[in-house]
Amino acid sequence: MEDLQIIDLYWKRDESAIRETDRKYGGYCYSIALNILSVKEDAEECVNDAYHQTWISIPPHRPQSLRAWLGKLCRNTALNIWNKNHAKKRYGGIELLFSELEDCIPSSSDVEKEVEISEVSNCISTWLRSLSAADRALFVRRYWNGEAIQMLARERNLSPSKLTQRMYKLRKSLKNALEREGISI
Amino acid sequence: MTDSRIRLYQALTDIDDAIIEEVQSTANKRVRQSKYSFLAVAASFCLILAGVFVLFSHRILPADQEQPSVAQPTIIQPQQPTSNTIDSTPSVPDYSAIDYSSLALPAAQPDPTVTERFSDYSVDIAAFNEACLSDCCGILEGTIKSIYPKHYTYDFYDDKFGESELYHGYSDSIVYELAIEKVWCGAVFEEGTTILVEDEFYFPDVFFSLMEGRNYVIPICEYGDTVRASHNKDIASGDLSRDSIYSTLYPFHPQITKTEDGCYLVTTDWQSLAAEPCRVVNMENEAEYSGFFKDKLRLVYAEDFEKRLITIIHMQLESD
Repeated sequence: MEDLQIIDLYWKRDESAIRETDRKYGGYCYSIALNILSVKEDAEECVNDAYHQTWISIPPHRPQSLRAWLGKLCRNTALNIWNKNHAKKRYGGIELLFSELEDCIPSSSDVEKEVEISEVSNCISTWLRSLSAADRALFVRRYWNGEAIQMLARERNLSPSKLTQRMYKLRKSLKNALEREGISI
Repeated sequence: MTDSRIRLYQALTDIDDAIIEEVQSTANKRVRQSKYSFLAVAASFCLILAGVFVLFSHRILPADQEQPSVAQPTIIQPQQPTSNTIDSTPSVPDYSAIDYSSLALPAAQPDPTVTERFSDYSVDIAAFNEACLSDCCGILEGTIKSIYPKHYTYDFYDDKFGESELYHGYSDSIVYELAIEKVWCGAVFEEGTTILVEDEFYFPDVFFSLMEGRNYVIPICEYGDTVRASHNKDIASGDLSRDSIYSTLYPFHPQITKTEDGCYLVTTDWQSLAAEPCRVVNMENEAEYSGFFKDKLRLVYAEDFEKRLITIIHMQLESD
């Protein structure tokens, strides 16, 4: 079923919208949730919460990209689950992502202003557009989808250590881009 | 610092939809070139070459020796394909064990071309796992409409026993005509069309070789347009063009079989697909079968199967 048809089902308050969403994007949502949380039961909870959020948000919203919408909800829900449970539970995926993303955080001495998150998002989007398609895909799949370095490396016939170096350069490049814009996080 | 990391995570979450869409859709549409790397790197693959391929499929004879005749295709009436839309999951799912003989499988017979020629030989084969799917170019659900053997003959020069001596070589394959009813992944394939799948390696099993009239979910890879037997040879003459560039990705285990009531019969080397909950398929009463897969079959309801396979596709086939 096309995304527009699924969104129409939400607008008609037809519960089959959730079934169709799950049919089309269930695997995608679950893989993002599992990559980030690394705990199967919590990933399932995350996807269910994301569906619930979708149900109560559409309408009034009418997302341009249902896939991006669902992915963002999964990431936000995963972060909430991590916030709620991380004191007593270890979530390997998100914690590894956090530790790698530290490399992207601009040095406080070099920056002038703390800005809204939306402005940081815009800056990251601009930076991503400046990359080659391959690097853009690599960065998004690692830090947005949360996919493992080993898998990404194997697909590209690279060793994990070589890909790790490439990811490090990309993170440093993002840090420089944020610093150039004078952004503090 | 922790707050900064969370803010950065949130900012990253809200990047432009167009970028997310571009990356995800490219990943979904990518059609991979088959590399057969998982087979090539396996040391035991050499035994396949030695045990099956060289001895039976690719027989090299002196130029004056008679060649055996080619077996004729068996004609079996195809069964009516099952619908894709059957939801096999009952309101209260039954996860108890089930006898193989109770499965709703269309009556069919194995093709003797496969089973009679290759039934007596034992080989070591690199095991399947879901990561092998990274080598596939599509996962197709459909009905086998026909099966026929193909026989290749060719002449080639070799210095094995004397300088540039002429040899006859011949090689066999099995070609399956697959009517595609559902494309699980693989942008080049279309539902409602028919493709040929040609296997130079195949699974000589009376129970589990591909059969006409049955409905399967088969990972497919691109194999090339000439037969493997001719590779790296100084070919003098012979038509070595395959009928299809596609092969079964992993022909050495039972392909996923769809039952008439909409369930899927899978082997346990599909770790995620065959995960619990599912039904153990009991073959204890199948006196004729004593093969490797006797205790390795599971029946999965359609709803579980669909969710699991989509997850596997996202995990194993996404790429830039």
